[in-house]
Amino acid sequence: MGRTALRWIAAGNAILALAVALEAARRPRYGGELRVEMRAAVASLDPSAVSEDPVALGAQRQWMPLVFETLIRLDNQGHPQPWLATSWTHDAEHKAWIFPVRKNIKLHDGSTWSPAGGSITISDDRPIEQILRELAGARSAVVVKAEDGTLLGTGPFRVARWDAGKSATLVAHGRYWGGRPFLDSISIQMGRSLADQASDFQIGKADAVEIAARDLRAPKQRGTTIANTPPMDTLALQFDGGRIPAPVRQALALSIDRASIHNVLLQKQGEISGALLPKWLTGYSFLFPAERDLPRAKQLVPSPQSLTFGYERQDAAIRPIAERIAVNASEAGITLRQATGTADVRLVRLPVTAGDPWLALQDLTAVLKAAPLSPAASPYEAEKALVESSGVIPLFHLPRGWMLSSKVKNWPHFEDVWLDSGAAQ
Amino acid sequence: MIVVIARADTLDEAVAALAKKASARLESSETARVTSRNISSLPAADAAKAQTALARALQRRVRNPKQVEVALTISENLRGYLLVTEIRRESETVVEMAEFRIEVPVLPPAAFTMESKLLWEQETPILDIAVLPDSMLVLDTAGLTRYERRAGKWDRMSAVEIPVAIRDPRGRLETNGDSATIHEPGVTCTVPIKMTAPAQCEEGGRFKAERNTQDLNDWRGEFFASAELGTDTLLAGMDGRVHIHDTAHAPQAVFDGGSDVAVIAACGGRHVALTGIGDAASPDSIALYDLVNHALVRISEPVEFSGPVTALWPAGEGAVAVAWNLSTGKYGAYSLTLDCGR
Repeated sequence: MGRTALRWIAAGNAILALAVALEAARRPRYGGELRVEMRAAVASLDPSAVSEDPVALGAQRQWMPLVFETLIRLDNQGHPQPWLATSWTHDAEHKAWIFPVRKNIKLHDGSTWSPAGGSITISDDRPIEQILRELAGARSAVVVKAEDGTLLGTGPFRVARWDAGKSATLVAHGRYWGGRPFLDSISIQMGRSLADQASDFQIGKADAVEIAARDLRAPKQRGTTIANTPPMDTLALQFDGGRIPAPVRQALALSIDRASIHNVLLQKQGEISGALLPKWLTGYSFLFPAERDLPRAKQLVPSPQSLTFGYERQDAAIRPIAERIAVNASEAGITLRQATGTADVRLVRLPVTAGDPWLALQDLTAVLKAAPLSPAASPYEAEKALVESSGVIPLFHLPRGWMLSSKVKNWPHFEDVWLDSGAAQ
Repeated sequence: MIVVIARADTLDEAVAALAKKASARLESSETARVTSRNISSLPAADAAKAQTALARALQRRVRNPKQVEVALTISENLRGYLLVTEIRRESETVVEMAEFRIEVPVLPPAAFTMESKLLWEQETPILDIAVLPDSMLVLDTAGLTRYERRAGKWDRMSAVEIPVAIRDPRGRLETNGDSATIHEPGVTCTVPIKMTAPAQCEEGGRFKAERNTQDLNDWRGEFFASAELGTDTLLAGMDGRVHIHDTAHAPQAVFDGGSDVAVIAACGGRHVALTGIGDAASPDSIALYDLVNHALVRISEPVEFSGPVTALWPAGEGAVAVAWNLSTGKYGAYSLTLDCGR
């Protein structure tokens, strides 16, 4: 059988790596292009760029570690592990942390990345756990700006072509310190609807396409390879600013019958939740209430209310849920009127971007345009404060699903993905 | 309300830590009525034990007690188990948490007729190993290292750097008298066994450059591994299957096996050891086969490894195998021998 030398996986990929184990593989084969399609329209993989579009941010965080790497990464249990750094220790005066870096790290232009003295020193009096967590975050990735402005990374793939929001080609980095990836390249088509992706998959134009959580069962029964993650998208209602009074927001939250939506429309995929982060990540999501209480909702809004309501109409998985939410809200005296542009409230997918609650909350803070998290707070306190301050109403945690061609092996560890030309198509 | 998550190594420690925190949150006049629920994979017996222990730890004698509900929830996240108490008062709910992990014991290996013996273990991926009368050579992704046995343990004597930087790295070590030949992707090197001179390397060789495959420019084309058994040749091919060819190189059969094969010449015959088809994150095995009418017939119980087998090469009357231990993260080189008496 085959394996690779590297066990720890990208922060972005760590969560995907929790996906259901796929079929057994043999010794992997080099070569070939993996053709991937997705809904997200990612403008850039620049780690410092935080997209306001939550779906794009989720995809960016997933793909970025293939190009740009961090000194530290989180393992499958969310624990920090050396990556570009080989270890960490404090200096003699106990005033700074020293991170020796690996030798022979090559940037995508072939030059060597080697900080002065072979290590990076960070003067920071915070606990090392916090420093490591921050260093594992996407925003701490090593990015070198070339003379022509190109951003160079150290990851297993380099960006050969990037048509912002439309398509991209990632090519194997032949001198990657962890060993050249098996694939020659990955082509990514962005902004593709689920229907278009399914169509391209069926005619063999794509090797990996997304599939809605509620649709995971049918292709599996037909024998198509399905890889699904633990819940990584939070379906939530997001309000536009603070102009909607708190009682109305609360009444809307209490009016929604999550249980019936989960049973019928989501086919029991994912989890009902009132928390932003899923249970597998925090374990405390049950502390956020998610029960329907229509009498209480009616008490909160004694007079009829009308709000404009937006959602991604192209997203066939979202539309019926949005319609059911509107019906539920009307029972509490709140009319949700469909809006195409700016809306009082929107049904959105918020991504879980990291295998660490703090890192995931930091990204959600940016997406929800909320105040920065208090560093002294626990993840639970920070999440509670974020929910209360942003007025967001989390509804469900949904898995991400992928349909895979039978030749795709080792998904979703992209460095280790290989194409089995002998597999039945 | 401040929630600081305590971390503990055992359930008892976690309950004690949580009880201490929850107790500090109770008013002097309050007594706790502990309820619990388990929404984790923790066995029910352990969950019940946790509730009992928490209730006992929160017991106190007060005059005119005011009872408050302390709801214990046993949950879990990707790091381990999480104990959460909610002290529920009319005006507020106070939350406290404690985490703990349970280590899963490694199962003992199963019995087998082909015997394996651990020769060497290290963190750097081992590609091949050779045990000589007075020394041991370990070829890994950094290069070749020579050890000598002294006072019952192997001492590192010398090393040459011949790094391999591909995924699924492979390499073969052959010794001949005082010299060792090293085959790695895209390069072949020779070096004196005692490393008295630098390695002489030249491009090319049996492994393709930047690949995990072999190509000897013969009828076999590109393949993972090959072994000759009688007049037949076994090829672990690029399609992930083992192909059996006859003496005229005509394909005879295809076998769903692993990607490494090695002939073991022992017990008066030649047999072939073959790896399993597990993936890189699962335990693996090696079993012994004979060829009967161009078909592989298993003749031994598989030798089980607690991780993927990454290399299998013939060695003397047996073979050497390298397996990655999923529990320790180390690579172990094993000698495989056949017990002729069983």
